[in-house]
Amino acid sequence: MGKNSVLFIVMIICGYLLAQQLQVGGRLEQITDPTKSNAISVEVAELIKGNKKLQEELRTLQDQKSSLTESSSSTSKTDASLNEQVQELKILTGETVVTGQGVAITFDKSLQLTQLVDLVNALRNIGVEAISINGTRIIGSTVITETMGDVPLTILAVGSKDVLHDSLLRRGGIMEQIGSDGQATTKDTLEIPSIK
Amino acid sequence: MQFLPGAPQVDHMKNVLRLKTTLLLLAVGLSIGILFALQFQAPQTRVFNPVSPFIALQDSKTSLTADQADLKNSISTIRDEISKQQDSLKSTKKSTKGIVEQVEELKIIAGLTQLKQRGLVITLADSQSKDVTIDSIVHAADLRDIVNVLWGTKAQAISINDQRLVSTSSVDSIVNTILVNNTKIANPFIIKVVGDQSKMKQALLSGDNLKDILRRQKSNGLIYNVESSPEVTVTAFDGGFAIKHSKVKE
Repeated sequence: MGKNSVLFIVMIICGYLLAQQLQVGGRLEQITDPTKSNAISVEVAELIKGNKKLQEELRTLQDQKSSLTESSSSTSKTDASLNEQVQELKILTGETVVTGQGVAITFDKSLQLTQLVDLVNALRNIGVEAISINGTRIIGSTVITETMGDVPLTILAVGSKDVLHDSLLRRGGIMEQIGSDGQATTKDTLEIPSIK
Repeated sequence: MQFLPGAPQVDHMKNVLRLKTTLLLLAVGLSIGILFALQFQAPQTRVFNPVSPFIALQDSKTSLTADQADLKNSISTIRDEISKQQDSLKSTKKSTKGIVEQVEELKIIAGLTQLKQRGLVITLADSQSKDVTIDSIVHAADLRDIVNVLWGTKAQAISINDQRLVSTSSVDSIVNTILVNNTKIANPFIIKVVGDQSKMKQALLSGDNLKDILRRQKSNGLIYNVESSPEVTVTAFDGGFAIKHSKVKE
């Protein structure tokens, strides 16, 4: 084999290694892209939060099921278990006045419709249990209208007061995003009206 | 330098050629050595691999997604079992019939039952053109706007990619991912809604409500279709409510 052939083979190996190096570099750049990693981190955080909620729901349902089984011979126990379920469903459907800790959010300037829709959506994502806007109860099927954002504007949200307060006011949080000078104050007791 | 013809000149030429080849091979050998060194570096004493945290994140995401699906399945199963138990209670204990019926009614309102009725199927999807712009793709805000318009027509039930919307549902975006009920959904987005078909169509297509979506449909190829259907199936909510801080006022 001539010198040129040896050189040719060596160059092929060299080219292959170079290409490999460049490819690995490209892949690494993609993998270590902070935007991609950040997106997955937030997804993981949302999954953890969501799964915790699902586990709690599963526990509640298991308790409900076993109390129904145990109480099959006792009418009073059955009624108590069913009443508990009715109460929870009434909170969710807005058919009752709700009390509990939470936050009161006030605005001095009117909010646009999209800002209000985004704020209600953010409250739900944080884990709110009941909402009212200027005394109107907001449930899943409530339409948010432009006039709801008129001042004086007070939004009451029942849920974990600290989680709600900190999530609303964190840097880059919804209050900063909607860019309106709003105030969120924690409250030990709030009262949210029913839809009726 | 000038060479005279003859044997010494040929020898000299050979020497120069040999030297050139040696130098070239040396350079090539050195390059290969450097490349090998880069490829097979000695392990670091500290964690330095930037790929490991990324892979760990992806693994966590995969396992948490699987957990989510399992939990949702278990919740659906146990809700069915409870409904059956309550059904049998209705017939065995006449005194509890009223309260069981109340539970059933409230479950329908809360979105805990599947609904099959006349309605609309709305498709919202990214433009298929190669030029991706902020206006040619679907945003979580678009879905929120459509949903709000639908509630305004007194729609009875809505789902997005089979995620039922209830009082605790949110539609969020994380970079280029959309989450409904903390569950990742992907393009195309299919909104199923039960309600008054003509009222809903009018609100969705008249141009009074969803101006931005209609503009992007026309100018940027955003896909937005609204179709009537005699039977739309809106799935039951399979997530959790976790009411911990609210109490019914006595």
